[in-house]
Amino acid sequence: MERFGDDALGLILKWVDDPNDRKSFSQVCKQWLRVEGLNRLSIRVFEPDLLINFLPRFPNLVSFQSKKVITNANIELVSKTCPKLEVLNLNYSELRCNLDEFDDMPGLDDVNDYGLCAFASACNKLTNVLLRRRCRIGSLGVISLVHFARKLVNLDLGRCNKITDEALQAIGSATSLRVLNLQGCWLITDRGLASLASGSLSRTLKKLVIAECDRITDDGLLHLREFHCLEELNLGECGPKVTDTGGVAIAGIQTLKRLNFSWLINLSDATLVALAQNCLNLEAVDLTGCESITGYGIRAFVNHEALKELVLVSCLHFSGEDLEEMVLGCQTLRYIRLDKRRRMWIPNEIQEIISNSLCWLDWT
Amino acid sequence: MSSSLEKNMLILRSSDGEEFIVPEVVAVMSKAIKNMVEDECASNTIPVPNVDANILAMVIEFCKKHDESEAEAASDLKTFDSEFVNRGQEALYDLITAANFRDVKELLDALCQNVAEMIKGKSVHHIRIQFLGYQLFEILTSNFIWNIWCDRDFD
Repeated sequence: MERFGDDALGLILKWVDDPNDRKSFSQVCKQWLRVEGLNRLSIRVFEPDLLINFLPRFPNLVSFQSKKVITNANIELVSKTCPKLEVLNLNYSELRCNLDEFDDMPGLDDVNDYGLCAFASACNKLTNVLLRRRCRIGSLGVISLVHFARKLVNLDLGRCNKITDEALQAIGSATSLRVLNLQGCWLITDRGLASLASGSLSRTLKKLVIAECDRITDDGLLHLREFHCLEELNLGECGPKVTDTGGVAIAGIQTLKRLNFSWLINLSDATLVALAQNCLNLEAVDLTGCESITGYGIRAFVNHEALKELVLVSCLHFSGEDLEEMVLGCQTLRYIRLDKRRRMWIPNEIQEIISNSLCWLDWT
Repeated sequence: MSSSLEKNMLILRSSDGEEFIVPEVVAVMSKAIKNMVEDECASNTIPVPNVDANILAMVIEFCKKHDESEAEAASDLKTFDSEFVNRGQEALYDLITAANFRDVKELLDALCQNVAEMIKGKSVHHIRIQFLGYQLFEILTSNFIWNIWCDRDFD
C-alpha cells in the first residue's frame, strides 16, 4: 500500500532542491525512486557507456551534460529517451589538463555528424547546444541541427575545427540564435562570414566569437556590419590579415558593448579613434598585444561616456601621461589591466593620481 | 427561487455524511468544486467523497482563513500556514490526499513544503522510518532497492 500518490509525491519533491536530499529521496523505496526519476530535469553524466542502465528512469529531462567521449549510439539513446531536452552540453574535456590542447581530442568513436543529426531530429525543443571541442562534428551535423532546432538560442562550436563555410550558411538562416561561438574553427573564410551575415541571423545575434579564425580578412569583417544588435564580438588572434580597414568597419556596429581585439598586430590608432567616435555604448575593450596602437589611440577614449574596462597588456607604445589623461577624461572607466613590467615606466605621481580616481589599475 | 444568501452558500457533504455550509467563495478555492459549480452540475449539496468530516473541517478552516486574509499581511498568513500544517503524520497524509484530490493549490503547496522540510538533510534510513515506518519490514524484504547505479556514473 502506498500512502502518497505519485502526483502528491512529485509535488513534495518539487520543494526538495538539494541534490543529496533528492538522492536520499530516490532511495527510500521503489515508488519514490520512480517519482524522483519522472520529476528529474537535469543530469550530468560521468559514464556515458552505462547510460542504458539509468537513463530510462528520467524521461522528462530538460538538460543533459557530459564531458566524456559519447558514441553515436549513446547520443541517439539520449534523444529517444528524453525528447523534451532543451539543453545539450557536450563541451568536451579530459581530466588531464595542461597538455597541448590539440593532443587531447576525443577519440574515433566520439559523436559525429550522424549522431548529431539523429539527436536534432528527435529533440526539437533544443535551445542551448554546446559542442566545444567535439572535433568530429562537421558541417553536415550543424546544418541538420539548425534545420531541426528552430528555437536554438545558444550554439557553441568552439574548436570544432571541421566546421566550414557551408555550416555558416545554414547558421545564417537560424531565426532565434543569440550566441554563436566559432572559436578556433580555422577553416571558415570571408565567404562564410558573408553568408552568416546575410540571413535572418543578422537580426537576432547578440554575441559572436570568431577568435583564432585566422583565414578571416578585412573583407569578411565588412559583412559584420549587417548584424543589427550585436553587443559582443571576439576577434582575438584572428591573425595579421585584420587591419584598420576591418577595424573601422567594426566600429560601424553601434550596438557593440564588449569587444576583444587581442593580438591583432595590424590594428592601429585609426581603429580606436573610430571606435571611440561611433560605438557610444562600448563598455569593455581588450587590446592585449595590439602592438601597433599608441598613446594617441588610447587618448581617443577621453570623454567616452560608457567605457568601463580596458585591457592594455603587452601594448608598448604609450606613456604614463597618455594613461593619466584618459583616466581623468573618461569618467566611467573603472578597470585597466596592464603589464607588471610597465609599472616602472609610469611615474609614481601619475599612479597616485590614477589611484585617487575610481579606476583600478590591475598589474598582471 | 432561492434567496441571494442561499445562492452564495454551498453545502459540502463529507464521506461519512456530515454536512458543512460554506460560502461559495471559500468552496471554490478547490478547483474541483469550482469546475462543478461552473458547469452547474452541482446541486445544493456537493458530495466530497474520500474526505471525512475531520479533514474536511480542516480544509475549510484553511480556505476560510485564506479567503478572509486576502488583504492581510502576507507574513500573518505565512505564520498561519506553518502552524496549520504542523500536524501529525496521519493528518498530513489525509490532508495532502484531500488537497490533491480537490485541487486546493494553496493548501497543497503549504503541505508539500512542510513534508519536504521533513525530508531535507535526513538519511535514507531516517526518511524510511519517518514515512514508511509501518511498512519498513515489507520494504526491506520484498521492495528493497538494490542500488544498481553507482555514484560515479552521473549526478
